[in-house]
Amino acid sequence: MIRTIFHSEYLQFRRSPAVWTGLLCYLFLGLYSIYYGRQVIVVQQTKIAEAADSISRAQIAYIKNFMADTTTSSGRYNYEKASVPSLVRFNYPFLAMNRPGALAPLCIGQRDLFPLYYPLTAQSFYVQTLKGDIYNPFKLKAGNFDLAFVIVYLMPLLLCACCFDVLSAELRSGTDRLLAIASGNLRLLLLYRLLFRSGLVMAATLLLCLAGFFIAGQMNFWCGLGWIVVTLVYALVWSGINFWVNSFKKDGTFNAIAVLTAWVSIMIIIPSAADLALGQVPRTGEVKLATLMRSRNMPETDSAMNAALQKFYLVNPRYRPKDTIPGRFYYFQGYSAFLFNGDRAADSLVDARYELLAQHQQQLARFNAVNPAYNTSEMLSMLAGTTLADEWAFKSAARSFHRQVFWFANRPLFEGKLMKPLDYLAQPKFQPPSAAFNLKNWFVDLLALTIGVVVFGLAGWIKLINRSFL
Amino acid sequence: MKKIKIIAGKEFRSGLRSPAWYLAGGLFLLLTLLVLISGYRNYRQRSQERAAAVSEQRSRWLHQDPKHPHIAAHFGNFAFMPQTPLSFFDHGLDDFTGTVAYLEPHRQNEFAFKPAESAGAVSRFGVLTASMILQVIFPLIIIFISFDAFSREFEQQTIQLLYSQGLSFRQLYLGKLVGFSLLLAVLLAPVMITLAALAGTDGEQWLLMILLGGLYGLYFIVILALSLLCSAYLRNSRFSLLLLTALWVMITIVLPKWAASTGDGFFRLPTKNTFDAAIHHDLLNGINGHDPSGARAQKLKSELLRKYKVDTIAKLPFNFDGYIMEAGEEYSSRVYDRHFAQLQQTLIRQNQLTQWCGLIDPFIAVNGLSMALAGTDYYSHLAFQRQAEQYRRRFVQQMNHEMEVHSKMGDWDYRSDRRVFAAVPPFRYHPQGLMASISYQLPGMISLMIWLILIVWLVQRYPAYLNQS
Repeated sequence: MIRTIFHSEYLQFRRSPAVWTGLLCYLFLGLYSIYYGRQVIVVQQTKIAEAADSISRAQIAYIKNFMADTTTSSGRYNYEKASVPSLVRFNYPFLAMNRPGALAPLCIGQRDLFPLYYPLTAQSFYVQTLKGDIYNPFKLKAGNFDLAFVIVYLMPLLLCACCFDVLSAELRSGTDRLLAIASGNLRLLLLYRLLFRSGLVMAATLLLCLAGFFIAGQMNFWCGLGWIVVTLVYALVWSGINFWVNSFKKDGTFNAIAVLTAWVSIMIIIPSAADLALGQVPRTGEVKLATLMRSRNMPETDSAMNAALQKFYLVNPRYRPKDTIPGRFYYFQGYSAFLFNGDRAADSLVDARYELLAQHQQQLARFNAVNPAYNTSEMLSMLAGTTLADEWAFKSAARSFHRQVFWFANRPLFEGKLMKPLDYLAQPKFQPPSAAFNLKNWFVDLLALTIGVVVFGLAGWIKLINRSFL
Repeated sequence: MKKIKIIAGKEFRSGLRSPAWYLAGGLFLLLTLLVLISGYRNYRQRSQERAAAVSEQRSRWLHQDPKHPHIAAHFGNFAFMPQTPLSFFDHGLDDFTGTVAYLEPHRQNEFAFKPAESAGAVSRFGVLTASMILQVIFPLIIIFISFDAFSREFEQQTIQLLYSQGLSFRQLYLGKLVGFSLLLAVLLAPVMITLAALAGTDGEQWLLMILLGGLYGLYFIVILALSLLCSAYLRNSRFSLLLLTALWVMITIVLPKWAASTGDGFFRLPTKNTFDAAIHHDLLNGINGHDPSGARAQKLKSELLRKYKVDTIAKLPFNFDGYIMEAGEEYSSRVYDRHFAQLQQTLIRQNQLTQWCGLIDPFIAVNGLSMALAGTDYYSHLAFQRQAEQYRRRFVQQMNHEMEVHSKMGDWDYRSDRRVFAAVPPFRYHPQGLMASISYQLPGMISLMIWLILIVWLVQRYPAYLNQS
């Protein structure tokens, strides 16, 4: 039976220009999305490389200053620029870069909302990182035309267009009775026909994914496999929805309206309803964070210096001087201590804010656990390393890196020493964050998606309890 | 006219008898009213948060310790993006523009803390607002209730009966258009009443409400008229539904995203780092590249010495440091103006492709106009940004002037007291006028007119042979 049905479907497919056109349009949009995603990520990579190059040149220039001719005033100035820690701390630059993962061109996710890198010195971390970046809000609102968009939004539409009238077309043309005589088993007939049509869309999507992997270049095999599994299970969810809608044995118009309503609910209403139901995160925390952008000014008085240093020594007792005579770098140490204390106090404020946001995200994810589009989008972003959690992980890694940057020049400053070329050789290097990918969460999302397939499949199967057409 | 009335009445009554209309309409009303009310609640909450933030920052400015005026300028001020009264109806770009900018000497900062940064994937699925329901979901409801308005007559072979009564296609079309419009008006009336009640009653709001009502009314008429035309031309309900939904997907989902992505690809934005580096370069070397900052200061010094007929700057009747800071700030403003003008030009070019796509896409047209009327579009944000920048320059210059006039050169121990800080007025944003807002949306306005003309032309040119069932 399956061979006959597949053969008949194949003949219908060959004779249907509408399906061909739909598939070709889909393939064209898919290829465009791959091209677009690749372009965006190449531009991001170029921007990161340019920044890395400019920082690296500035760093090399510093080290060259050690070879300056100190018999001349400009040579001495250059030498001091590289060796006096109070001069180095706010001028010697470092870079924390958020490099894109291999699958990022296929799912840009949240990458376009956040800075690609932070140039850092020993200045306050928050003064350097909280100020806004350059974006086009209009473009951000429109979102990215990447492969993930094609898979999450357009693939279901094509599936619905191909599958919504599997039975109703027969009812309309009056061939249902003929089929009933020939096959008898409506469930299997519907299932096989849906399988063939969904299979076509899935094959086209698979082709796009493979083209995307090829364009993306080096990538982890398991990530690629995970991407394909998620895509296919998501396609099966939509096949299940179509199976269920067809099982009502209504006319084509009813089916079309039903699947479109399902699409609008899943893509627009449910994700937004979650946002509405949970309410928005209060922005009062942001106002407090905004004050962290302020330039750090401290009164240049002995009492202020002393107060900052005493607070600093409580946390870093090894730098407490043995005698009470102010050292060579006393005032510079005071300001560095002031910055250190300020950032420590700010850390708790920032952590509390991010904790609140993380909780809100968890609630949203729970609310959306039943939403296949949201789950698929999240799973694809997880594989591409472009989720909000990935961006936060980068910020957190940049903050850890800044601590090392702070001590790079401040350690000699508090030890009262000059900096040497060896200090530069041992300078901190930014360690990219370990991927925020959470295998357990990914499997839970996949399980939720699979449950969707089973639920819709079973609902349709049960609905077709009466196996005949009428 | 009487025949049109009869047809319209018949369509209206049939619609009211249809359970599908009640189901779709009921869900639409429930969702829209819910979204309007919760949107208004969020707007109130946000406005209160903003007012509290503004007052807190003002108080911090006023109550800062006495300090040198230039250091006080470095303490800085903040500009908080206000929420317009209609932002609860149409968020526009509010979630993506950033809410606060730090205003400090020597540099113009970007707006930080975009609400979308903390919303995750949900914000990319689109935030449900009343405007989004009206722009995206309501057209789908229009399609669902009207896609078979003509095709059903053909399929049930009642079209000949109608024509045999002496009706022309135009009368039939107009009758159906009026009938369905009345059905839609019944659904929209509670929404508009709730919106008007929540938005307030001052003169400006009423005008905006009327314009919004007119805009959406026109948009729905275009969608309805297109849907009826599709039904009449295709004469097949299934094809009509498929074509209309394909069109809906194209105009609301695919084309806006494609246009924005392509605009972004054509005109690239610099990163903040390269942008700042270019500004720094011009500040150091002069706008023309041959006027280094040291030489500029030297030239200024010589001019002043000549003007006041003194031989050292210490003998000048004012603090030269303060004067040089004022001049530096003035020069940096010119440099910033030049670079920001280029940046804004790039941003506007990126968005123009979408705006011109509005000529063929009524959704894009209405989206732009609706944001402009709600004061949440890019140009409103730009107006706010400009006013914030003007304020930054004014207050920094005020502090520099204080330094120049009241302190002595090299005296960094000079302290300004709170009277000086209080003399700096708080930042107040004056929204751009209605005409200025909508003047940027010319392609959108032309688009709706073009669609109306096209529809009228297609109705006029409806081929006689299609009247046969």
